[in-house]
Amino acid sequence: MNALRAAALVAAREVRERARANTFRLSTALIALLAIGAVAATTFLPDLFEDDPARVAVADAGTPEGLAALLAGGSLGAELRVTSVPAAEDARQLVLDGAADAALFAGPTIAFRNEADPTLEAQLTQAYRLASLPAVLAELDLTIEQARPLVDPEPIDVTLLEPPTGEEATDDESGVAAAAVILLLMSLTLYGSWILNGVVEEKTSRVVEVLMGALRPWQLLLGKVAGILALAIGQLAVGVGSAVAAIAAFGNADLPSVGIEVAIAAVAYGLLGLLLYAFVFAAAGATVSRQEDAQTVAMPITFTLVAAYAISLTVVIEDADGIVARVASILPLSSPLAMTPRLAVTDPPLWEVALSLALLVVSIPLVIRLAGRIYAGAILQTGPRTGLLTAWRSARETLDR
Amino acid sequence: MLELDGLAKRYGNVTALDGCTVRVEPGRMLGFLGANGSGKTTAMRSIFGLVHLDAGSVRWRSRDITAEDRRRFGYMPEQRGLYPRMRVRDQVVYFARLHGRSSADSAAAADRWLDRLGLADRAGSRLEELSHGNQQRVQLIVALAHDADLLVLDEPFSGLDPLGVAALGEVVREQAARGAAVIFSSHQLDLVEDLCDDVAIIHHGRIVLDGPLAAVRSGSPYRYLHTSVDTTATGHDNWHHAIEGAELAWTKGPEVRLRIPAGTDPTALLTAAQHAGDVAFFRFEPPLLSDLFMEAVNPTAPPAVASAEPPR
Repeated sequence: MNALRAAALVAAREVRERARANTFRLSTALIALLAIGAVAATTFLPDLFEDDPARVAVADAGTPEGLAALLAGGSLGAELRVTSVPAAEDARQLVLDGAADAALFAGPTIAFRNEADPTLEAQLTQAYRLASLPAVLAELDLTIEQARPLVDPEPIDVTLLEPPTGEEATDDESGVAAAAVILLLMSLTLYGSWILNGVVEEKTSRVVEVLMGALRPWQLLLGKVAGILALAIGQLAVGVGSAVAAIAAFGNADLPSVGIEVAIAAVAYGLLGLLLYAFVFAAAGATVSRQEDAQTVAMPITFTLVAAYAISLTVVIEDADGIVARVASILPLSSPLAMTPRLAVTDPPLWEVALSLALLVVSIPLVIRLAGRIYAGAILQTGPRTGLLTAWRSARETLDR
Repeated sequence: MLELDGLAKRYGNVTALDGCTVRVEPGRMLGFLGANGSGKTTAMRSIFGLVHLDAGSVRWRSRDITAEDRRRFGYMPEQRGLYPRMRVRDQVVYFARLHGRSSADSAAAADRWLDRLGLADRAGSRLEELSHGNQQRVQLIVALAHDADLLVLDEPFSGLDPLGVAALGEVVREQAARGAAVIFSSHQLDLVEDLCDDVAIIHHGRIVLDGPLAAVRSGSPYRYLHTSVDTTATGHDNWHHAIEGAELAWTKGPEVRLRIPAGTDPTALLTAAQHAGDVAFFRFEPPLLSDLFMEAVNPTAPPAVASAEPPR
């Protein structure tokens, strides 16, 4: 039998058995819900928090011509919703009815219901003066050109005395970066724990002895990791598919502009990082025989991941071009978590991204060899705990089976 | 033919195997006997490369065993091992496929075997939902569903009720009849006696007795006399003390079981018994496997100690 076919059988079993389990179905449903929820949130939440434009009722009688048009034009800063009515009384009534926030009529008068809004007041005052200008000029017998210095004075410079260093992340960018880090950590630990527990389960149930009658350790290891990666990709597809479907369904999703390249980076780093950590988790799992010991033996790995997560969530997002962020996003053990948020908040030099990816890609086969050897050496050891050194040494014996 | 040749293995201060040499012929069943810790399991695991031997070699058809050979073997480890939450039929199919059979063949074999061992209605159950005996049946099916050339069964009958033992024993015998080489270990010596063609007894990691069962029995330097003599009329309670070289294995009421040198004339013994009283029955025979086992494993101890508490 083809050696890879055996690994494929292992992978197929992994996929079939896990896809059947309730935990898998539940987590897949959760991912779909999260994706839809995230799209819904970006679509509908801004509307909830954004203030509606102020509504103004303008009486035509006794007010300058073109006042309503000027207010509606939006050239005065904040957008206004303008209703034109014939008489002052009509405008007042609209305010009393709650259909308008303020009324502007001859007097000139700005009427509020029970509380004045100073911003709106300033806006309306300025609009009224501008609209009155042609009539005032005509009275003074001046042309617009003569009045230009009054109406349109020289612009005034605005300057920052202590400008912020580098590029400041916008709220959108930080939000995307944080979401990416959280999702990456969740994926790495979730799928990592599947591998860990799967390997330990095979030792606990001692099925590994039967398996070793038909398989070599590397076939079992490769098949298991491949199967769980396939499931991870499947769940990713469910997540992306749900998000795309939700965007199509909700129509006007207000997606953060940083989205697409960060999404690609997140997927690439997520998969490469998972590949790297999967084998480490498998090697750790092979050294114990009881489920209770699994978490203990995985502690150093989890700790590394959580440390990378903490650094990514704080230092990298706050100071994306600082030395810590740069190192963390290049080293292979932390780059799966740190590079994506960095890409979200800043534009790191291309060579840093290339180096980070290259190191990650190069380190994967090294880790596979190292972890594969420990796995092979430990998987058939029967004691409760197998030391790494013992595993390393006895691998020679298992490998030349 | 499977050859275990001069196997040696030490775990720290413990010697598990010490020059163990065993042969298993195709079409024959070898009963592999030994006390707890005598090295049976280590020897059987070495066939699958699960033990790194200090010395010796394991050969199949006169060559070192390859991964391809192993795929044609079937193994039932002492510590049973299957996926607890996997469905029974899926499990059998999966292992048959790992052993190189096609998907269709594996499915057919799974159905045939589950039906044969009365598990057809449990095909869709998770393994953990089955009783101990049924789990053991599944474990045996997993070992042989790919029509293994060599079956290595470590304590295949332990913990089974007599019906289970009979069913599984018959299946294993058929495998040998089909041409498979079978090696199985057991503590149930009467069972081994009924099932196996050949026997090998391992003690402290080395083989102390082996060969075809009949030859091993007749080759023993002892015979056993099991008789019941009613001595109430004569008062010759200790009649057997007069028999030359006889050692008492055990006695219960009128019954005695004696170990006697092989050359002793049975007719003289019968005469002596008839002199002592009424003989209800008289059986003169080569040693049973349990006798052989005790002789081989504990040759200096008197047979009384040995057979008074037959090894389980």
